[in-house]
Amino acid sequence: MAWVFDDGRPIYAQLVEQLQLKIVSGVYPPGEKLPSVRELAAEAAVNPNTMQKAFAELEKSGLVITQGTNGRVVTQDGERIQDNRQALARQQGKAYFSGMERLGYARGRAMEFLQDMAGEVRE
Amino acid sequence: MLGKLIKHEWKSMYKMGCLMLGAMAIVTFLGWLSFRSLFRAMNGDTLDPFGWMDIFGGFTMMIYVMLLVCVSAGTIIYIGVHFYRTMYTDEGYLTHTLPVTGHQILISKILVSGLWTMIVLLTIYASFILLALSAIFSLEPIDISFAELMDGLGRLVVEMEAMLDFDAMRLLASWILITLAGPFITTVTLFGAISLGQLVSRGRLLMGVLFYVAIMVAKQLVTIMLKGFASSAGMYLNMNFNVGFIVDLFAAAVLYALSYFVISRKLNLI
Amino acid sequence: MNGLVEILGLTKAYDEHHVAVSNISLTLPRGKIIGLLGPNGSGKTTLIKMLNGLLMPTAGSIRIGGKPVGVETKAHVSYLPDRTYLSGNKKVKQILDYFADFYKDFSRERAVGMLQSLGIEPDARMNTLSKGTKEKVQLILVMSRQADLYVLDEPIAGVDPAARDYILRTILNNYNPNSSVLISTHLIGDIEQVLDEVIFMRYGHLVLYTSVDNVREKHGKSVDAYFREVFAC
Repeated sequence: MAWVFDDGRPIYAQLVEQLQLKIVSGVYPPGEKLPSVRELAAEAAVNPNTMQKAFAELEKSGLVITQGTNGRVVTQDGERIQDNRQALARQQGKAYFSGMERLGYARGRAMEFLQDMAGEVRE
Repeated sequence: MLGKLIKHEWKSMYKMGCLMLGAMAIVTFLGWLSFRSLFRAMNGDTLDPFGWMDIFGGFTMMIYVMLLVCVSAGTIIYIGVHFYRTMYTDEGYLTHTLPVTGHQILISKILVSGLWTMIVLLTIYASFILLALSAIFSLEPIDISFAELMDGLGRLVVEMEAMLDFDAMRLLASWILITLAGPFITTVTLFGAISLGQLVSRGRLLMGVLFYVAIMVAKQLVTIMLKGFASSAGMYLNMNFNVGFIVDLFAAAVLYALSYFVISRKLNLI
Repeated sequence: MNGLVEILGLTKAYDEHHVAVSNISLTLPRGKIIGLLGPNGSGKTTLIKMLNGLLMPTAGSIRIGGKPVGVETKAHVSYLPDRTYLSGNKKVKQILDYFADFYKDFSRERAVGMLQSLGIEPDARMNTLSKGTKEKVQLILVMSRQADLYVLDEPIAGVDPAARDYILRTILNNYNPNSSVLISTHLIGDIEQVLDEVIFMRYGHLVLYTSVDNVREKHGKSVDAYFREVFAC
């Protein structure tokens, strides 16, 4: 299935996010060899050059390492993955609070609401 | 690449060509039937199993000639339509994006279509000869050998030469030349007219047909004028070639150049 | 390194009042998938026809791989027109023969493989196939060439979503860094994510030539949305 992208933001940036998510969530575990740019581009139905750009970004952040002719692997540096996970979590948190703020919830009320929700969702 | 073009052109036309040859065979058979009944009737032979066809005798002769005209016209029309379709309709998008030159495209089409026109022309000759032979054998059914027949023909030619004052060999030579070159000249003329039709913006095929008619008329006029000029200048009898043939040849050269101009400079597929 | 396609001052005027392409200059690099976008009648098809030698420019020049449009460029440009250009009474395999004979860069195995994956019989006659299947056969022929430049004129207009996905996937699978793909369309949203760059045309003029991510970054909207804004009447 083609991946889904939203309008208004560069596609490569969205690819970076989606790949980060796949790495921290363990779809691509640490040390695992990643599919080639061409394969992944075909899977996501995006331009291979865009996928290449996203990979370059991931390499810069150290999440993905190029091993010569072997292709690319996910880093085995657990700390780095953890950092990334945290960064993504922070984004989620920020998005939650700013969304609630727009609905008229102050910080404290938003916190309470979240607590209540957690109970419901568990069931 | 020219060889490949010719190969594929031949492949795409040979079915229709064979159909035309089949039609010629049927038409010739019908003509033979009508001749046979015509001459049998003259000889008063009523035991002929085809006797019932006698009433159609004269009628079928007319049909024979008409069908012959139809097959020749059909061939020319098919060749024109095939050229138009592969050059100037959607199929032209493929033809003109092949990695070949405009000359190669034109020459391959002229060679193959000209060859088919010639083959059909030759079958028309064959049809005439067959019917003539069958007529001769119907008139004089008592054994007459092929050698005697040729001998008789030879004497006839010599007599006619003396009577009408012409050189039979020269006539034969120019006739062979026209048979060999004529089909290609016809093809080039047809293709040129259709290509000229491309220069107008609307009703291009119709304009192509009109151009063809106009070119034929113009060629006739020019030939007549040249002949008139030649005879008044006392040159007529000294001319080695048929004036009409030279005019045809000249027109074909001009039309080839025009076709090339259209496909290389003025192509504008709808 | 020179661009793959170099267009300089290109103009096509059918007559004084009808200028289809007006003074366009462009250099297209290798290894890109480029969208040629514009409303109907903006000159996209005229430009494409000139790239393929189906129309002579009134002024200006086109060089593909450093050569003017002609026999040599036709051997390296694979063109999918916006119509059926295959003869109806030919069999699919006869058309494969035809392509193999004329295009040195045509891979029959590739074409047969793709036909097989779509369940198209090589023995089928073209005029027995549906319109959509005919279009797929043409796309397969065009993409089975190892060309320098692929020019696809409205490949996704009027096809169903499944066919569109197939077309886009075929284009992506065929991607190689030495060749470029030029896709003309007025349905941008459908193919935006496979494009590197976009060319906007209007009234025969070049309006914009930029990368997709550039539009998204600069204007904060998709190329599709931006296009609607630019061309809103």
